[in-house]
Amino acid sequence: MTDVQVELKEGEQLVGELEEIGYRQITPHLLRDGRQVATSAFGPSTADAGKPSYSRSLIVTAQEARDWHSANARKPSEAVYGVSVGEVIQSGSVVVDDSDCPIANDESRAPGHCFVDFRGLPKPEERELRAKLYMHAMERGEIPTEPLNQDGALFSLPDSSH
Amino acid sequence: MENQERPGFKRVRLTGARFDGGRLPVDSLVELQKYQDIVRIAAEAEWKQEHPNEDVPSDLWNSVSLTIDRIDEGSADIFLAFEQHQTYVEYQLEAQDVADSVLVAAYSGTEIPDLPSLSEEKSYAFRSTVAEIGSTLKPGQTIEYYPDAPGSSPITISIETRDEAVGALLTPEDFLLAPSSELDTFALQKSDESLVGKITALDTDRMTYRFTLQGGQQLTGHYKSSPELLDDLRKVVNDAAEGPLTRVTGELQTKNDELFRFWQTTSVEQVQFDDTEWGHRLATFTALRPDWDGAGAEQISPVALDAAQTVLRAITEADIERPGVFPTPEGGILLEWGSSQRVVSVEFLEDGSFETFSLTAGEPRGEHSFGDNLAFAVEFVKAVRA
Repeated sequence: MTDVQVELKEGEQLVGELEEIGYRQITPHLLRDGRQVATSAFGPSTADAGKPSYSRSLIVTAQEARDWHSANARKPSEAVYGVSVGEVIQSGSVVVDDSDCPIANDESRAPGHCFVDFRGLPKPEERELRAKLYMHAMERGEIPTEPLNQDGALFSLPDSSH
Repeated sequence: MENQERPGFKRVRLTGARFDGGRLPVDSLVELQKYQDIVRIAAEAEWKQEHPNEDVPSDLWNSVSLTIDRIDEGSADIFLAFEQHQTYVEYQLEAQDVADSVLVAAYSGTEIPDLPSLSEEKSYAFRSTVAEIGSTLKPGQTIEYYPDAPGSSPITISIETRDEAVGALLTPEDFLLAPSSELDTFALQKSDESLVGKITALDTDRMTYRFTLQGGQQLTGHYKSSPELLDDLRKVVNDAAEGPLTRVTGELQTKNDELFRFWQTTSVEQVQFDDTEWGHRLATFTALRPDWDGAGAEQISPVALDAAQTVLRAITEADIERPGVFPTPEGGILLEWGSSQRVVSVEFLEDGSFETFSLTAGEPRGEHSFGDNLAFAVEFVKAVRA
């Protein structure tokens, strides 16, 4: 294991169950090229402030996490991958549950929301951390889920990108 | 007929015994005034969009004014031209386009176009004024309005045709419009951006072009502020589907997040991607607008695209497996070979420089380098992937 220095903010708490999976939604679709997923899909976006979102497997299923994301986020999820809490710690970071942190009135937070802590990392270290998460996620493989049913559809539409 | 070549020059022909011999009864001047009014309303709306938080200059209304250039014999064959007020000249032609599009639609039975530059109140005032054109006509009299060149087909306004036009211009909903003060909810958003598409038409009189995006959407672009771009536009204009892919850069205006027009154009350049799988993928990245990931991503830099293409060509020639090709939120391109055992990447930054990276599973640290000599990037890839 790697020693990790963590500075938690009010309402944040570490996720300590090493076997628990953090589900990562792959979005937008451009972060998939054929069968390959970009390592950047596992790190923070410009707007994430070093806190890329994951979902806790003890609280939601991968399908529930994907459905919530597709229904509420600005871009629908294309696929779900996962890394365990132990793998994140092994990679040099931690999983932080921020469900008790205050949010603005016009914001909503996904059930089981947590994040992998990239805060304050210089770019080379960010690149390393996301690559390590990526390799763990690829070792586990894509977690089978279906796209969110479209309004009025009785069944999920097949995901043509698979 | 030198003045007939001037942009904005319009022919209006009044027919009927009353106008024989080129006579123009004084009370008919109101018809020309109504036309001038709709151009002025549209010009104010154009100005307001450019300056959303400012009051319309007090001199704009009177500065967008038409003058009777001459009246030919036969009937009252009138040639109108803009008075030359340079201050607001950029708004005159745009406003006249709006006016003409509605006038033509109303009298040709086609759908009245949306008036995106006008607020609801202004739109109503505008359409009401268009509807009043022809109100002085008597039986047997017509106004022929030539929206294009003086020799082109006119629309004909008469008592008979006007009835139908008024019905098209003013809907029952218009009478429900509250006489509230005008709210400028239609202000434009402006940003300096590049878009890639095809130049499918060019109007050198109005100094505009039609820009067709890869998804089929069409925008109007203006190059009045950079007339030297005409040669570049001529090189790429092609109304056929096989026209060259072209990157246009300038002041892009959007309305409610929808693309509206290039109000100013600063550069026009042909872009070309190889007819390969990765070439097609790079081409799709050119269509990405800022915030393409929904999380604040930058638009993909042309320099990064060019650099990525150069290295991808070398990779193809070296018969190395194609990497995943991804846009980055910082406006660059990521070439990446990834598996559960190893990650190798070359990331091109917005300025065309690059950073290389490799990491094998289980290793605590990766190897990083950076540079701006693309030959080095190619050598790196050959060393780790060949």
